[in-house]
Amino acid sequence: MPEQELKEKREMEALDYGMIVLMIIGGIIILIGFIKGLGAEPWTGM
Amino acid sequence: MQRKAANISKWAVAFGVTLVALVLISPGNTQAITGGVSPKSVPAGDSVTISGTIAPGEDLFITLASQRSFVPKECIGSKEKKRFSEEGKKRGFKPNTKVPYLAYVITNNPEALGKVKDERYGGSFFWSGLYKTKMYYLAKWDKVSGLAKKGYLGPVDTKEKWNLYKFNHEKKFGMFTVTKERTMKGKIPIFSRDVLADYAKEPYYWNKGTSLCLDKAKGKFSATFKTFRHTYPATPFDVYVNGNKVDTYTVAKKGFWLPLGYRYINPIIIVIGGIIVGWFFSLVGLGGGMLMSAYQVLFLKTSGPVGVNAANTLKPSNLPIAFFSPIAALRNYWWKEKRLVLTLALAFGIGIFIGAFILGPPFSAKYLPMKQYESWLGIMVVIMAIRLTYEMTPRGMKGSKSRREAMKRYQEEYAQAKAEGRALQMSTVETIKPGWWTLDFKFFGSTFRSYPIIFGIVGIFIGIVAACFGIGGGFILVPTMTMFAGLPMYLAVPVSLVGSMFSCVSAISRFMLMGYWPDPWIMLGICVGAYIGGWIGGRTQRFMSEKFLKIIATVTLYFLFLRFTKTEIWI
Repeated sequence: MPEQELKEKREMEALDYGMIVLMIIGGIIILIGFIKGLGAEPWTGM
Repeated sequence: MQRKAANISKWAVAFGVTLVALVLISPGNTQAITGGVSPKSVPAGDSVTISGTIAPGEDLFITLASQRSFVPKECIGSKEKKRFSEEGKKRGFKPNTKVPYLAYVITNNPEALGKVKDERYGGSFFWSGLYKTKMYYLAKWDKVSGLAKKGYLGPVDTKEKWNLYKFNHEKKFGMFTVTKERTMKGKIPIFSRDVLADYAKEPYYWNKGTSLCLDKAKGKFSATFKTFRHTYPATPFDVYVNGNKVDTYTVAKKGFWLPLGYRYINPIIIVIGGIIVGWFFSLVGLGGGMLMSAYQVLFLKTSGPVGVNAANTLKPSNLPIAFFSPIAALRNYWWKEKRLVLTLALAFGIGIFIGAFILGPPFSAKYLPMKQYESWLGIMVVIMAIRLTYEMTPRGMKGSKSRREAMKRYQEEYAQAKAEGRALQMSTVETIKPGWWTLDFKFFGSTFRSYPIIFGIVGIFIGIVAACFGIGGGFILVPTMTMFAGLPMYLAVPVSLVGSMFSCVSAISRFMLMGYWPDPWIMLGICVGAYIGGWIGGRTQRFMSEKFLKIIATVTLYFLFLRFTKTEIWI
């Protein structure tokens, strides 16, 4: 495989990983929101 | 000796007479007041009956005050805390003023505490106050101080407390942040119930569910009161009759309580609504987040915890839909077809981060509480409706037809290239002239010129919009990118999908850092519903023509516009 093609392939793979990382981070953030919300008993001034 | 005894008995008689006189003329006339509530525990939304006796000839004031209270300085929401502090300076209450979060006065003499006046309501922006109704306005402190000081209003016994109570009940901000009880005229909330009278004698909309029977001559009374359907579970209420605390009752849980949505709603209903909206969205192809917001505002009526404005719970609860809904589509665009212009995506990402994380949430939490949120959501909805209307005109049809053809051509070429084993090479974006102002690149055999800086600016704008409304913003993204940033459709769509996911994550994390958490059940319910709806949509699409769907979508959106701007208030 020529060097240019290999480089492009590597870039694409890096992007794939970037996307997966973004999704995982997003998923974790939303999960934190979900768990925190589940245990919420918010009240002021009781 | 006898004289001494006579003197003592004279003093004793005088003392006795004075004592009796004091008891008789004392303001509370405590001996005469009795009262009790039944039942002692009432499911939210059901009625309680208060009966007893007061001194004959007196007016009756029954105060029901929740033991759960609200203190502005303890607001969970930082923006709300600030707003209460500002309002307090203007209206005369302090950050540490403590009032019951729900309190009602049932009386045969409502004029003693306020006045029924004309109230204009409905409409928005330039056409606000379209309709006329009546509303009960609480009086100024000077008029009620006499009664309040005698304890007739229960714990609301100082000027500051009365002013805060008045703000919580009469102003939309107070209603959506503290009491959460919306007394509606048509479909429009006017104020929170406060002073109530017998509905048979005073048939105003706020007196519905209240009956009062007072025999003034004998002082006997009996009152029935319908509790607020969405009272916080297990909230004890103190009952005061003419200044005397006579009993307590508890409003118990009735149904499934949303811990941050502050409503009793069965999660299955949330899912069903999510399915309908998701199905509709997948058929029309845009505005999923916005339709979900509309669903929350109109049907779920997400209220948020006490101390958080309803809109600041609605937005983070709605945002995850913008994260999950593009995943399925992205699987195709991203992993299979690899369409991306990195410089543009990067510029866009920076813009979105600035918009959705740094600028959007603080702006939105401060300037878009529920009242304003609804009106501006109306504007967003009408923009989408206009876009859909345009797409149905001959010119718009031609445009969307040529876009579809371009997409189709691209997909055919891609399939052919893949079959010949040159897909990766063909679909790689090749930069010809790099730069942040202009960028020339080659993709699939054609050369394009694009403007990363515009992407950055668009990103900021989209980020702000997404954070303000709790939506993905895809419906503004794609046309802006194709019209102003020179990107072909088949490259704009995947960037917009990643963009809406990114803006969702940025905005929701900022909202959470600010203390505005999403309601877990609303979030989960609408995401699951939207997923099922999308799945059904994919299988029912072929039974309906695109034009028919667009007509239905457009009519729905115009209707939502009229509703959100409170022009239509009956359906």
